[in-house]
Amino acid sequence: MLMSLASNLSAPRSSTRRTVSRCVGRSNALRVFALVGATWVAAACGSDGVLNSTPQPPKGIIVMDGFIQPGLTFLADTGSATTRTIFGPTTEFDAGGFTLLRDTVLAVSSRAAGDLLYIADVRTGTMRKLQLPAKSNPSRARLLSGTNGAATIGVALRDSGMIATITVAGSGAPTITRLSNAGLCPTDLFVYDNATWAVDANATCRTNYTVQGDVRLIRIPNSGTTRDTVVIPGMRGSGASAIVANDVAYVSAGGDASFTSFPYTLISSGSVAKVDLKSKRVLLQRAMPTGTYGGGVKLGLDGYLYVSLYQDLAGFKNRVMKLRADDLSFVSGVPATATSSFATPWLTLTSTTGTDVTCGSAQADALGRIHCIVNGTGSATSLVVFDATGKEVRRVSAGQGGVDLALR
Amino acid sequence: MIGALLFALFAIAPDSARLCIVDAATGAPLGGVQIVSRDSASAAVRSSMMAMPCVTRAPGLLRLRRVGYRARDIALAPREDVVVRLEAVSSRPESGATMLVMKRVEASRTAAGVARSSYSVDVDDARLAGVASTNALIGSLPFTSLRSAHGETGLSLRGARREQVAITLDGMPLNDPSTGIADVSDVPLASLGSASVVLGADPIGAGSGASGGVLALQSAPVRLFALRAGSFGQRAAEGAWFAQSSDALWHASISHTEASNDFSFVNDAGASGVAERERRVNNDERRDAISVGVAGGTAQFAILASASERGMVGAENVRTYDADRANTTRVLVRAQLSSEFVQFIAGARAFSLEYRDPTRPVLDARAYAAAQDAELRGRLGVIAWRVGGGADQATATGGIAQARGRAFATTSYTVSNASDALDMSARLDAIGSYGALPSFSLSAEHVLVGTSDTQRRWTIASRFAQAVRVPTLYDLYFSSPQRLFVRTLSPERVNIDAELSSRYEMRTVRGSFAVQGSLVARDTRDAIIWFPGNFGWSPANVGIERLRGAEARIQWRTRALDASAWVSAYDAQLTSGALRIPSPYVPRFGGGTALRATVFANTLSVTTRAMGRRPFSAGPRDPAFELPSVLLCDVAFARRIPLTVFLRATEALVSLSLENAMDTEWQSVRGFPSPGRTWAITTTLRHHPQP
Repeated sequence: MLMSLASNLSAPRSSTRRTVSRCVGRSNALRVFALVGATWVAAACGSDGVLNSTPQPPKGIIVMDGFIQPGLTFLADTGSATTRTIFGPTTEFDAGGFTLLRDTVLAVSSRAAGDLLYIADVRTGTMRKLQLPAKSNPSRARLLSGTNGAATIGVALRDSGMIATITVAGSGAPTITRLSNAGLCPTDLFVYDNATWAVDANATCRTNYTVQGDVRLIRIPNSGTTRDTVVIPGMRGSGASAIVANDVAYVSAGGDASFTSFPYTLISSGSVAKVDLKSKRVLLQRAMPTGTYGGGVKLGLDGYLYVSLYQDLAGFKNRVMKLRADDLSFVSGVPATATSSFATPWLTLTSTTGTDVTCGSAQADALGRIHCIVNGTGSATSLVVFDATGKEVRRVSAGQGGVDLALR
Repeated sequence: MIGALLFALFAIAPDSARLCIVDAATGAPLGGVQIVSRDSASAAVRSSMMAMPCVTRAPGLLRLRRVGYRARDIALAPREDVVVRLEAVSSRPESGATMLVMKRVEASRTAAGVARSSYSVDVDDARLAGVASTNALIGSLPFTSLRSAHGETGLSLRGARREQVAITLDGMPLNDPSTGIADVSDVPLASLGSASVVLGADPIGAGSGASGGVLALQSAPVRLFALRAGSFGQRAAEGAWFAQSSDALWHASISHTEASNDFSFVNDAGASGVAERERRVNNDERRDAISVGVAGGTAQFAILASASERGMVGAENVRTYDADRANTTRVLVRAQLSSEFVQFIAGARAFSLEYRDPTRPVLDARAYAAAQDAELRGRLGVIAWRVGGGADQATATGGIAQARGRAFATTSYTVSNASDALDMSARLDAIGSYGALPSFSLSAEHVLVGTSDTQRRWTIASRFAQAVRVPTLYDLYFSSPQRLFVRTLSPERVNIDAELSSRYEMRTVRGSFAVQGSLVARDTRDAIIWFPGNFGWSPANVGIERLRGAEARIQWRTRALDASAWVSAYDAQLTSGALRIPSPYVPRFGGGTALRATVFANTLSVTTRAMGRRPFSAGPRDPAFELPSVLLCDVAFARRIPLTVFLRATEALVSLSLENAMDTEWQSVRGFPSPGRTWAITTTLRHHPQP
């Protein structure tokens, strides 16, 4: 399998580089805190920001089952045929999302499921898992590089305050090096300008994921021990993540809430920030609508940002919002309509009969069609596709226990 | 006083008669009967308590009284051996069945009623087979499936989920009202006389929650002391005692158990590329339990209290729970008053769970639950009736506080003769805000060959029932740490629980032979299913849960040999839209054998249990999400050693047992390894009071 992975990695880079991330650990015992983690949807990442000029339908769609029979379900752009790659039982896998770079899927299990890294080859449907340091509580894995049969993968280790860099070659044993002082709770990472950048959720992830302060970017140069910190004022959330496009990082976090007693208390909603990595400055910030919770961001193949969140903490109704990447303004209502002052700026997605459809993990393809997943009775997952007017045009079974989606 | 008691206990008059008391409906032996006699010379009235079902005593006019039964007057002749059948207050009066010539006291019909498949194990017999804990006792019963991840025990019967099984101790429910689950690990074996599984829904007797069946534990007054030591730090001591006065039988038991459970296992969940052998940590347990009771002719009272602490070891590759601990405390109280026509039963249960994470104290949590029950039973003409009510409360960390009330009424009509029996029953529950929840049961038995008293008997039986299980407080509220919202749950309804069975029994002077087979079906609508890890987190009413199956058991029993075998085949699955989900942990095929050979005072037991592949996820059938088939074998050798030279009427039982003798690597819950071969040596001193 790793040979296949290696061949993927050594292939020439295409002009479109895209990854999707929504990776959060959960703990069966630390349930309330796992809830915090699990409900945070994270970010698409790694886009070069250069999209194909001729929009094409996606090569395929990947849906992750995170909690029934964990693994990946692969679908085509049409039809109902599916194939599966199995990861393992829920005692060994509890990821809330995954990252995709070309043909490689990465996902991690938290401390509650054994601190494991899963590497799947989308083309062959094979999977390999690697042991990460015990009780390190990994959050998100990124494929950093891949050449000549070797791959370098970065993993944010929440409870260690470190970034692990894993080098795997062939089927050999991995080599793990660690970058320390990566923040109080690093939840994501990326590489830019000869440095590894950690996205620090600034929360007590070792215990109960309580937010301690604003989300930060911590720059760890490839040499030396200095650390540069970019604080994103007012951004809160223990599931922060980032998407990098050229010299810009789109950082997002889902907000802060107290789950220690019922009814739950919202402390602050999520937000998205645009950070200039060269100048290490926050350029723009967009708060999510008042009362909402969550803020997982994916970069659509149409160039827009898509945010999946909950409308409130009472009904936890899924909503999807569309933002322009340049000014982070909302594109509200029907997807084709642009109204930034809309009171409820989420997209109006309707079924074939005109009823409201709520779904999560939304991402648009290059044609502007929004793909998302719905878990119905028995946690049966459906992939739902909406046309540019927000009308449902496809609904197909996509396994069970769906937690994340990515378009290839 | 004590001397007088001992004298009375052991003195045997030359022309005394032997008297055994059994339940008129089931034939089950009854202890705790008060005997009131009138001295013919002085006309003085004397009373005494029968601890054991059988006693030897002086002839004369006797009145027999027991809580829950109608009093009966008999005239006992010298050197007469008789069996007296006592009728329960709420059962149909029988005519002309006061006394039988004694042959052998053995239950002729299950305690569960007409047409029920029921299997019992006697604790004394189980001790000979090396059984030394209540968990092992239940595991020795046929058609049972035990699961354990942290030392707690969950029981599945007939493909039901563990919250669909009601567990009772002398009729008192042990299930935690918040979770619907009863953990029998804390019930001291020393306090028990027998255990029975009753397969299939029991809407009338157990009410809400007994969709899959009932495990009925019966206490018994015994005098014993037992010590056990075994592998992985097993240490246990238990004792039980009873004493009689003229009006009361006092009994008590106490037990202490501890184990480190630091067995080695193969970690197949890691990612090193090779299976690594590791040792379990934080898997220890420590349990203490005490029971005290007193029974008189018209009243009885019992209390059971237990406390346990155990390490909350995680799954095999998970280290983050290596310091987590859980403390559980349970207190159960029950009182029963009985007159000739009405019984009053009241009980209360209290549960406390404390979870501690020393490395993350902020995650410490507590939960408390309590339940109170009161019930009246009686008979109105040919109709038996029960009415009762109660309340459940639960509080937990996170500001959770819930309570609800319960009420029910049942009515039963049973008619039987030597070859036929028919039972028609109905029950109406009102629980919380769920409105009226009716259930019914219709059962019939017919003896094709022979009668209930003949040496050979072939019986066919059929039973239809409906049942209901309301959401537990856990379903509604305790799952809150994981829920995103509280769903409105409906009660799950067993639309139909049907069984067609046949049983052939043959008894000779050399022994007995029995073979039984059943075809079973159960359809449950709105099954309350909790999908672990679901982002909806709360459980939901999901589709139709359907079970079809067959069960068979054969037993051959002589004085020196007891051999039995059972098999079960179940197809249990949930249908929800296009999903077909096999019920987790229910094997398609299961079975077991038990062989016990006794030569003089030596007993050798070999018990096997086989389980086919069991799904462990709430998803469609997929071999990747199934536990492999497993065959387990336990071997025990026991020797009885009379100690009459040293201790009057006392014998020692020394047993050496090997569990999982073939050292099979297996898991009862996915991710949580079970120990391989373990050994234990148990010494039991048992005092048999002379009647």
